[in-house]
Amino acid sequence: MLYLRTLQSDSRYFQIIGQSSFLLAGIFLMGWHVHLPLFLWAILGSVSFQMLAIYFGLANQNSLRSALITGLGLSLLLRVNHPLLMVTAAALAIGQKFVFKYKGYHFWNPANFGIGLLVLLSGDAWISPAQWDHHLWVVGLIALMGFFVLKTANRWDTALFFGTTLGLLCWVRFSWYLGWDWKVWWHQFNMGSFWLYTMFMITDPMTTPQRKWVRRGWAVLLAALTFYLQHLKFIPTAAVWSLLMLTPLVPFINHFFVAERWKWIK
Amino acid sequence: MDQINYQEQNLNFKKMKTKRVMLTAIALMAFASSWAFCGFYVAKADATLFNNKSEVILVRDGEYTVITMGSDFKGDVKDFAMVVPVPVVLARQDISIVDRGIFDRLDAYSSPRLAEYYDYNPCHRQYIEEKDMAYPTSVNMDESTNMRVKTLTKKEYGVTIEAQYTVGEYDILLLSANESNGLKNWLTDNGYKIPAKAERVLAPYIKSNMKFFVVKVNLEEMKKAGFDQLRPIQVRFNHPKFMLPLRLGMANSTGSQDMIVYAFTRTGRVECTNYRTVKLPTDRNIPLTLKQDFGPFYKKLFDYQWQKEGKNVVFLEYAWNVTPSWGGMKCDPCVGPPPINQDFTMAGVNANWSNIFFTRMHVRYDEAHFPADLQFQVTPNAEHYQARYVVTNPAPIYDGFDCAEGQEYVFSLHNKRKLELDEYYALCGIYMPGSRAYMTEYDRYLKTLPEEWKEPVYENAPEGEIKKGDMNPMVAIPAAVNEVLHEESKRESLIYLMMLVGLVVVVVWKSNKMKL
Repeated sequence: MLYLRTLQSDSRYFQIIGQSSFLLAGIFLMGWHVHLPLFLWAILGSVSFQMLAIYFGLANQNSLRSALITGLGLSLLLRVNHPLLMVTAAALAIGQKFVFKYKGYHFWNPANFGIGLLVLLSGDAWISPAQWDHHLWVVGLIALMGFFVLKTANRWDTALFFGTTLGLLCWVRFSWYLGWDWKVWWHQFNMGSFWLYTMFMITDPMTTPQRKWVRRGWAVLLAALTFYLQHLKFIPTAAVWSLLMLTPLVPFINHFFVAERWKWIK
Repeated sequence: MDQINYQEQNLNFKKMKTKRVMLTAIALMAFASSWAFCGFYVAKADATLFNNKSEVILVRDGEYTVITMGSDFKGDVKDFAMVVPVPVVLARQDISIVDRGIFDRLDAYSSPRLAEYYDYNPCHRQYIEEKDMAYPTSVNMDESTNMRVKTLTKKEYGVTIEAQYTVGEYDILLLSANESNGLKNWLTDNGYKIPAKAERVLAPYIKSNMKFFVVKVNLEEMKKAGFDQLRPIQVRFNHPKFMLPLRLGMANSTGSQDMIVYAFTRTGRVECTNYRTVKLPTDRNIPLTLKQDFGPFYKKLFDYQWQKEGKNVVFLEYAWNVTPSWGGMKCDPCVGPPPINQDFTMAGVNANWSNIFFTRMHVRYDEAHFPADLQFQVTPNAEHYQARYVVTNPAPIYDGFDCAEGQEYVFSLHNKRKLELDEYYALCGIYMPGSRAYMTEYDRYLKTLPEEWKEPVYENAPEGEIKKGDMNPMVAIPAAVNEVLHEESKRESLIYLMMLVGLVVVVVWKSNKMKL
């Protein structure tokens, strides 16, 4: 029971367990073992840069957990041609937390920033949105893990509002307007990367608005932008870009809609 | 604009009697085709290896897209017709006819390959050599063009003929429609019979603002040109959509269809963004007896892997940098000559690309497993890949294997062949017929036979039904773990995996305890 209490004290534990399970599933079931050295670089990189920050007194000891989550996030979503790029992504991801700051809030989710910037700038990195199969059980597992994380983090509403809005918009476009079979709609959502993204990345309490209804509105906006980029501008990795565009608004939103600041440790 | 000519043309169009129309996104030519294998294997590969096969060449650079649709239509050409949804109205200069040979050359170059190795007899000095496959020769033909641009017309069907061209032996119409019934009626009244199932999928394409590229054969032009085979049609356009519409093609087919996609980009591999792209197992040692039957073997392998992966994936068969000026090896071994400048031009690759990357994908699709059209993206992933299988010829016997090294060799040969048979089982999901005879072929050269070899391993193993792929986690996870643990090439991965797990555990631990 003591262990359970430790786990519940910080939602990042669940997130680490969740993301590690998906990484293991990828390694064993999707043939990702070929990327193993890259995963090591991503995690080692993130953790080392965070340790540097801790050493210089910029962060506290338990922020290593966040760095680990960043490393796992990079491993799950980013693919690169050279290990050095993975380390660069980790440096960008961790570094931006300490460089771009407004009233103690950072502007971007670290992994999202690292992935986005590297894909945009290096020309040697990419995201494979379909690397997760359309297997329901994978989706279910991701959803379940995500649920634990979000319940502990009390941020389930971001995921719910984002998922529901996107689902609705897609239903309107594909099933109602275009007249495709419902399977075409379902195909969009029965996808591991979508759930992984919804559950683990957009719900980061550090980069979502603190006030409850503002946060929900923000999630709806994010879904609308994602839908626009993905289905009207035909960008397959839209979720990454819309999050990259909208999270910088969050510190300002928090400035106007003040609420109690999020703390990882309860 | 030649009005009179246009009216005649239009009249001809209307007079056409009803044709048996096949609708397809890409090429609905669902007929047997030859699967060209390398060198002397060509003759051995079964001509009906992949039935219902269509081929497509894609070129993508930013939003610029070139699609070449290969047809191996074997019926009466006057029955040939196809309807392809395209995102924009194409201008005359954006449509052309290319030589069929381009598909054969790309196929020959990128087919799954068999490499052959030779053991040497340790009791008799000789060199190990690797035998390369013979290059098939290629034929080129010139593109013939004599086209007239037509004006548009508005029909009461709500169908607009946006453009009308004769390109080579084809009469081409570009239609836009307001609603699916009108389009269906228009097509029916103009001699195209639409399968009932296809009607349903017309509407979504109309609403997503797609145009319809409608093709039939102009018999006179065909006679004039003197071709008896339909040549591939190529279209070029600028649009952010990078997809292949499959749904229309599924309408007239109940079973699964195979499609080979050859793609050229400037940066790296093309991958599917809404279905998983899977590499076929490669660099596997397979039994020597398959040398004569490589084609059928590959078909079995593909069937099994397709089922194992859940029938809804896109397979990668080849990925390589084919830039002519790039000095590296273009294949290993080469089963066909790498594409040359003229092939690139024909495929639609811009002549001033400094880097050309080639990807070959193989997708077997059906209605149940591919609810949505295939969407692609270009990645910077320039990692080379080829589906390559290896047979090893045993050492020549000469005076037998009497020396100590010779005995050791025969002993290892038996074990090696057992591994090859295991590999066969892992790849194809069935036992190879004649397994025991193959494994024990050289045992007679051993002075003493190990006791355990007398056990009837593989004896009477039936060539069973292909076992069904299993993605149930309770079965798949232990099987996958087992594979990782027991496959030599993956042991390195295991070390990395342990490091990874260790790292995660240490970091979690330290995030509580450590004080710097």
